[in-house]
Amino acid sequence: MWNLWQSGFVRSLILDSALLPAVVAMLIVVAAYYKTRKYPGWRSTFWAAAMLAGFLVGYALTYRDFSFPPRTVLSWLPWLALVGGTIAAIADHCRHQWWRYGARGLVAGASAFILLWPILRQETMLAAFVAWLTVAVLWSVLWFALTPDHRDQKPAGITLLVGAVGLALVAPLLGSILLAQFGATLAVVLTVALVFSLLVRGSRWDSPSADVGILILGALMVDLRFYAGASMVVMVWLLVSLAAGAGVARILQHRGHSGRWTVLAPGLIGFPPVAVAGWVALQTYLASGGGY
Amino acid sequence: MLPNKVSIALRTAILSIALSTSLVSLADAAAYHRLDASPAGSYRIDPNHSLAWFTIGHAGVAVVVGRFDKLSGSYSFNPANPAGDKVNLRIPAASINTNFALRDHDLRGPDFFNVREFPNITFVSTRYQPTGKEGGQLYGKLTIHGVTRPVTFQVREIGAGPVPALPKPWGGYLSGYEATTTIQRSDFGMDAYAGMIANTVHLHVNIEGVRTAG
Repeated sequence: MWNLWQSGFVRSLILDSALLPAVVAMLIVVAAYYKTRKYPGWRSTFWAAAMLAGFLVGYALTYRDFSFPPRTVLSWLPWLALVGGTIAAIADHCRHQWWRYGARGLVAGASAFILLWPILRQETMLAAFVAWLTVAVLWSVLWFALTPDHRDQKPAGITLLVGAVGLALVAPLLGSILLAQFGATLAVVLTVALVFSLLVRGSRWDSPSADVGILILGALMVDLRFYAGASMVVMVWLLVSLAAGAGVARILQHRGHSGRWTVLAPGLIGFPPVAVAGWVALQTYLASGGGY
Repeated sequence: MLPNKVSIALRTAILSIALSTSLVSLADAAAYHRLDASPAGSYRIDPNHSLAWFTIGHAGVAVVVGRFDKLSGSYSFNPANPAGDKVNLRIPAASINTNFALRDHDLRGPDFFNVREFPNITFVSTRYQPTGKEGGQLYGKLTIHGVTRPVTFQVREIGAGPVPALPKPWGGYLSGYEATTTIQRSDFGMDAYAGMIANTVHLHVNIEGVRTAG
C-alpha cells in the first residue's frame, strides 16, 4: 500500500477524485451553516450547491471538459446536474404534488435522451425508442421512490452513497477508471453533506441534495452500461441496491419510524447487492486476464 | 572415400549456387520500384494489404504497439499535379487491437476512444507536397474522438505498377505508400492515465491501393 501511494498516478487519482472535492464541499457546507443560521430553511439548498460544487471540482480536475454545447456524453454531466436540479427544486415549491413528479419524470426522460442520443441515432426507430423508454422509466421510478415527498431525505442520501460507492468499485473492473473517479467523487461529496447533516442537530437533508445525487449517479450508470459496456448482471445488482434502499426507506417512513437507524437502514440493506455486483465484476475482470 | 567427399562437395556447391540465385531473385522482388511510368489515377485502398498501427509509451519504460484491424478509403494520385492529390481514410475505432482483449475493451470505452459515441477515425487530405523523387508531405485533417486537428504525414512512395498475377479484387494496377506522423492524444480529448500512458503517439499507415480509374 505504501508503494501505491508513492505512485504519482495513484496520488493524483486520490487528490483529484476525493480529497480536493471533499475539501471544497466541506468549506461550502460549513460556510452555509454559519450564513444560514437565521434562515435554516435555505440550508438544504446550499448543501445541494456544496455537493454540486465539490463534484464539479472533481470533474474539472479529472475530465476538464466544460464545452458548450457539450462535445461528449460525459461533458453533459455538469449541465444536467445543474439544470435538472434547478427544475426539480422549482417544482418542489409548486402547490400540487403532480408538479413534483412531472418535473422529475421530464428531467429523467430528457437526460436519458441526451445521454443516449449517440447510440439511439445508430439504432432502428423501435430499438431506440425501447432503449430510451427503459432508461427513462427506471430513472424516473427510482427518483420518485427515493424522494417521494417533502420529508427529510437522509435515507435517500445514504442509498445514493452506497450506489456511488458501488459504481466506483465496479467501474474500473469493467473498463473505466474515469467513471470510477466520478463515482468516488460523488460518494465523497455525499458523505460530506450527510455527515454534516447528521452531526448538526435538527438539520434536514432535503430534495435538492438528493436530486443532484440522483441525476449524477443516473448519468454515470447510463454511461457505464451503454458506453463502457458493463454487463447487464452488474447493472441489475446496482439497480437492486438502489431499489432496496428506496423501498426500505419508504417502509420505515410509512410506519413512522425515526432516528439514526432509520437513516442507516437503507444503506445497510443496499450494501449486499453492491457487494454482489462487485464480486461479479471482479470475476469478470480476473477471467479476462487482469491488469495491464 | 575421396570420390564420396568430392561428390558431397560438388552437390553442396551446386545447392549453394542454386540457393544464392533464388535468394537474389527474392531480393529483386523485395526491392520495390516503379514498374510503370504512369501511376496516375484513382485508387481504392485494399484493406487486406493495408494497415494502420501505432506506438505509445507505457509506464515510462517501454513502448506498446497497437493496430486497427479495419481500414478503408481511397486516394488519387497525379504526378503532374500533386497538389490536387486526395486521400480519404476511414478506420473503425472499435477495430483497435493491442493484443490484449481486456485492454482493447477499455480502449473502446469512455476513457479513451469512446467508440459508441465516436465510431470512426477519419483522415481527409487537403494537399500533397512532394519533397523528393519518391516522397512528400501529406497535409490534412485527422478526426479522432470527435475532435478534428490538422496533421502532416511524411509519405514514402513504395512502388507502383501492374500486378496481373494477383486475382481480383487484389490484382490490377497497384501502388503502395507508407505514411507516418506524430500526435498528442490530449489534442484529441484523450488524456486519461497521463501518469501511466504517454501523450505522444506515433501513427503509421501502410497502404496498398488498386487503381479503379486512370
